Amino acid sequence: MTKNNKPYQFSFAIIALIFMLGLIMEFLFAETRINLEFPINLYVLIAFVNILFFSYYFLRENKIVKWLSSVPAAVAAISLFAALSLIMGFVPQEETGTGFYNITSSWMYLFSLLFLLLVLGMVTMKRLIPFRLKNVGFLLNHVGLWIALACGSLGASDVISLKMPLNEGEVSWKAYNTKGEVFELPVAIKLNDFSMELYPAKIVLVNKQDSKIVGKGKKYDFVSSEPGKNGSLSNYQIDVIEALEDAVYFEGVFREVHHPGSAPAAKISVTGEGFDSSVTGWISSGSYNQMAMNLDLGNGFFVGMTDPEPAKFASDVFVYTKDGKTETAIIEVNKPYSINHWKIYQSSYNEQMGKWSTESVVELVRDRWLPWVYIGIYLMLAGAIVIFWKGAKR
Amino acid sequence: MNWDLFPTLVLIIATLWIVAIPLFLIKKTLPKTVAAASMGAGIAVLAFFIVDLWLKLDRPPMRTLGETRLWYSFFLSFIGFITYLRWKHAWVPVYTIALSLVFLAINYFRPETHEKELMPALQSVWFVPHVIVYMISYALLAVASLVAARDLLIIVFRRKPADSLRLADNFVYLGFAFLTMGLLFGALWAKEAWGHYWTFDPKETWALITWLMYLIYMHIRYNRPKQIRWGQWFLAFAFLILLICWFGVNYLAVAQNSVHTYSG
Repeated sequence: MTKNNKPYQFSFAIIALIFMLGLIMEFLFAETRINLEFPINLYVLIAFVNILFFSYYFLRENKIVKWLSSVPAAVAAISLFAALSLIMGFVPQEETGTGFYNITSSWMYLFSLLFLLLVLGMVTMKRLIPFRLKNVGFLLNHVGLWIALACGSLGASDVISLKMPLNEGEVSWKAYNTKGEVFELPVAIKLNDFSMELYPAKIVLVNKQDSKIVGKGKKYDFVSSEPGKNGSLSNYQIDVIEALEDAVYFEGVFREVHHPGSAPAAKISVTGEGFDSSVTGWISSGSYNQMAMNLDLGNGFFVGMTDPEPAKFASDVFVYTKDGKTETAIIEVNKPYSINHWKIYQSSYNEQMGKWSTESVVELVRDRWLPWVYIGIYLMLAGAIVIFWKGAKR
Repeated sequence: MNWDLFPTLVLIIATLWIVAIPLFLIKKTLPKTVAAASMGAGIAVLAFFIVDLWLKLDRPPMRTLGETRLWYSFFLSFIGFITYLRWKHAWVPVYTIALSLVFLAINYFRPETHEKELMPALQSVWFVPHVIVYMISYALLAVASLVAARDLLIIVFRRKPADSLRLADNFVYLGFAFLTMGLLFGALWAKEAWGHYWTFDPKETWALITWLMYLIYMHIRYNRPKQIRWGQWFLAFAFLILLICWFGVNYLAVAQNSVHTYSG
């Protein structure tokens, strides 16, 4: 290499080359994907770290090594990664796609990532050897990002994510991946109970002509179905006289019955223009085995109730492991359950049956690289605090 | 209802702040002090409304874009206020008041559905820290962009040199620290809620792009501290990326399957 007077132009020329090379590879070998599974990805990681270490230790006067640990190379490496992210930001990504439709599986992304890890690694070595206390903030940020990025990407092929459908009272040990392949797991799960709490249903005004809720998208477009609540929908005043959470309709009225298929219902009165006195009646959102009920205002509008939305849902389960352990657990959204390196998440349920669903789907995830990614994340968080502390001072 | 107080309070805030603007621009101490007091009172009223809304909703008011705009207006004006107290740049609070009022005006003229419900995926200890640090970050980075944009206006219209990038850098570094925290809190939360810390969901992708933009800025600034002009343009432009990430992403075709679309 000759003396480099225009380091930014040079660095951007290199990433342009890397990008072109990636595009050519993508064009020729779109079907070939590198998938390194454990332990090969671990060997690759160790080799990578060693290459960084030795090339910096012995070749630090080499021009290539010097350039790789320079700011212009870093800016170029980040820019290439940002450019690929921008493509992802505009082109909808497809799991089975190629090229721009599936950036993270593409050769461009692989090359960009390797170049970023190389540059980030080299620049880290530069500040790591010899170690100085004033470089701590720099090292936390750069080492943290390197670890999170390297372990997250190399470990991606080791992430196992499976869905397991459960039925109340039954034991299950089979789970499925996204391709529908069956896996037998070292844990078995029995669903004791699936439970759901609901928010109060919403009382809304509906135009009969197009069956659309009046005023949707604006303020105050519903009245909550709770006893004593009132509010206005368009030109009508709604008063909730009675509100039932689980109601069954018979003999002209709704009664509170906690029974599968029961649905929320409310007795309301409506006053407004065109009525001499108020109109009173029952409305209900209905359920999978009960009709919805609306209150017809007789002028092209009716008052109805929307399906109540879930406030929380959870699976009460027994978890059996191969070594003979039995544990009870409640698996809830945002509260996964951990056992033997697996995390079990509440995923879905029979939506048609809603709160009366006796089915629950849990997701089992295992990621052996997770602790390393977390170490990277925590280092970066510590680094962010250092940035906050030191600010832009140089 | 929960937002009933809003129109009245916004008018009070707007009055207090608009009174403050000319006072800030008088080159004497007393009017400036009055201006700062008036601005502070407006911020206190806004804080009162947010607390009141939080109590009435029974959940943190951070879910809809309308609610996040409240926080943003609050932090933006608050940062302008602190900047004045700390560095005595009177034009910074003036700009932050103006921008803050724009966001309050959007809520005033375009009220959205202000639902009470919080879907299960949002019920997490990460919810409040994730949103708060993001709003602080966005506010700081907006001030950085305002500083840079002001430089550009002076250069273009008054044909005078202007260089406030060192001031802008203070906001960029602070904003970037919060941006990093917001991004990483989001990743830690995602692991608990959806089983993976990073899935290149459209909102995640745009958050990453925003983060990378400021990362590029900081690296070039570090490397070429004497070159100013590109940095002024870059900061002004980076704010557009930030806005796409914050709400523009909801309008992009890629966002159809985003796990973040509830925030609409």
